[in-house]
Amino acid sequence: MIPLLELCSVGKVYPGGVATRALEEVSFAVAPGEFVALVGASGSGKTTLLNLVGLLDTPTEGSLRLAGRDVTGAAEDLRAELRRDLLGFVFQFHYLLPEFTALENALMPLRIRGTAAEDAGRARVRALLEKVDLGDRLHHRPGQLSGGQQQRVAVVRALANDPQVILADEPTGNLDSRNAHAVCDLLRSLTKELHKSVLLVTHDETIAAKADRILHLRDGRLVT
Amino acid sequence: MLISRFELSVARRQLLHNRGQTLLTLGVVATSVTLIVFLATLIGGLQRRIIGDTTSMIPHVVVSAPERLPLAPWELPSATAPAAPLFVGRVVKLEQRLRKIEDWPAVVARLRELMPGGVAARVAVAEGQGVVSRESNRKPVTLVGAVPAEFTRVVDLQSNLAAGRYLGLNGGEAVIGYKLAADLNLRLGDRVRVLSSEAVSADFLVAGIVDTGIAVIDRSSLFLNLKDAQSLLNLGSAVTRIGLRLDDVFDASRQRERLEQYLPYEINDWMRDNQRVLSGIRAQNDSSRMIIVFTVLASGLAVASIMVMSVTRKIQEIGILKAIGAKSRQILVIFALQGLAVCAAGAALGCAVGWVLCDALGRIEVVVSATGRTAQLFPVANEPFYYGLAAGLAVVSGVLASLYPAWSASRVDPIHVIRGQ
Repeated sequence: MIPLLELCSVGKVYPGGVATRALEEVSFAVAPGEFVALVGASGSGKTTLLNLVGLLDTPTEGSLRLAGRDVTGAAEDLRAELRRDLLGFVFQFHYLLPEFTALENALMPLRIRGTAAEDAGRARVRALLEKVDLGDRLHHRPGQLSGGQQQRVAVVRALANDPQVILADEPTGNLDSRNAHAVCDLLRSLTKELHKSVLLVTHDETIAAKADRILHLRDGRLVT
Repeated sequence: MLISRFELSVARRQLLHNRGQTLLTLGVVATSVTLIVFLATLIGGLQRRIIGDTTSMIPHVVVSAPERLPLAPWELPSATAPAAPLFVGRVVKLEQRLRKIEDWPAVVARLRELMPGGVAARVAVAEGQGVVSRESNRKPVTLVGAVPAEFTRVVDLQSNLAAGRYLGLNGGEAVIGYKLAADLNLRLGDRVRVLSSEAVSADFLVAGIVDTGIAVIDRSSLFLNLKDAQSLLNLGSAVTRIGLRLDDVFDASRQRERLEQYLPYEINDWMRDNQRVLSGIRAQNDSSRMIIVFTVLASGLAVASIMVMSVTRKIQEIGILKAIGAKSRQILVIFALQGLAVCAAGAALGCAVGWVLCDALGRIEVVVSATGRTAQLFPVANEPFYYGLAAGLAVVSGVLASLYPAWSASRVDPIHVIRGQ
């Protein structure tokens, strides 16, 4: 099976007075529908790796393939398009737009793509929100939702554009234990149901244990 | 499509959500537009009044007979040439005789040919000096004779009447300035005796009293119909000058230069005779332009700084939008749209406030002469052009000012936002 996401000897060095090596010789692949957790201590390079995979940053070494396509040196506009069409993001903080309702926030990746995409995907996104028990909160603004509800909207937003890979950066880090597990279970069940790959960054071993596979990062290197 | 629902909705929602900041920006733009409107309409009105006061009572271009010069010996007809040589040392003016245009209808016809457009009206005038007397009072006056219907189209006498009439002035009737009327204790219907410089005298009935606001006219002018003036000045059927009113008052010098090429007459225009007024207007124009430029600049900088604040406050949202696929161009469009919308709304508000202000100021009138003639205290020219100018400048400067913050928003790196940096 062709991996959906493939990293080959990826490295990242931040230039400066003293160059900082954040990642070194990182290689792994994520298969379609696979739920992978990336675990490591603070400063181990988890977020750097997620930023590279999320095409928010570019590696200084190695290559990165997404959906069979080499995207290592993709230009900024192409990376934006790939993020929009192939990737879904869930962040530690929900980062919902306070001026928009829950439904509009969830629809935002489609709205970015265009009016036709938004109109075509509206029913699906509405159904996803109902599935995560937000059917009666569709027209509420983020300020009118609880932390758990906000993060559930963020999960639906990550799935709105029907991406192939979901990248989740400490999505439960800002939630209490009960909500954290609920959101993680939701993420897992939805992505399994929709056959999406997930790369979840966490420092919580109990959350990581829900993944199909766990990758450990230490000082910028994979140790698993 | 250049602007999609995404850009429009984000721009609109952010403006509505941040009402305080939106109102602040709108207020800055509206204030600058009001200021520009007020300044432009006031300066424009002031200039119009100055030009109006200067030109309303004089023709824009005057055609008169050239000054007569003695002929040089070689120009004399041979039949009358003296046998002995002549000494010619200096030009000597001939006796004070009126310079006449004998065949003035032909000159008027020629003027029509030469100036097929751009001339609002023409009038032939018989003008000379005289003395007006009543009982023992005598006052020197300028006698101005013309066909009233034609004269008033060139020189705005009719609308400056304080009493009586000028249009339809009959033979034996005259219109005089209100100061002259006061000096001679004259009222409508009184009779005066006029003695011209040609030693011809006649009695006239005062049919109108005029208040032009120009002392030399109000104190020493007597307006007659053409035939009476021709008789008093011994002109026969001739006139002394032909006056022209132009559609564009500032076209006078060009028209004069053109006529000088074709007509063997002395031609003057109001611009040549009023250089100081024109240079004053030019200085006023330059000053008002500078004030407008600085106002626009200040408004633009204020808009830019508010927009920079907005971008700083919205940096997380911008970062997240970019992370989920928004392109830099889309972010730039969002903030440029916000700048455009706020500036357009501010310009509309500023125009509305400016109109109300200028309209109210324009209604304030003050009495400016003894006859009770009133004039605007603030001579505002409340015209659409000035509003278009102010709104256009505000919108253009506002949009330009919002481009830098919009550009910096488009350069936001989502990584920094996601990391919380």
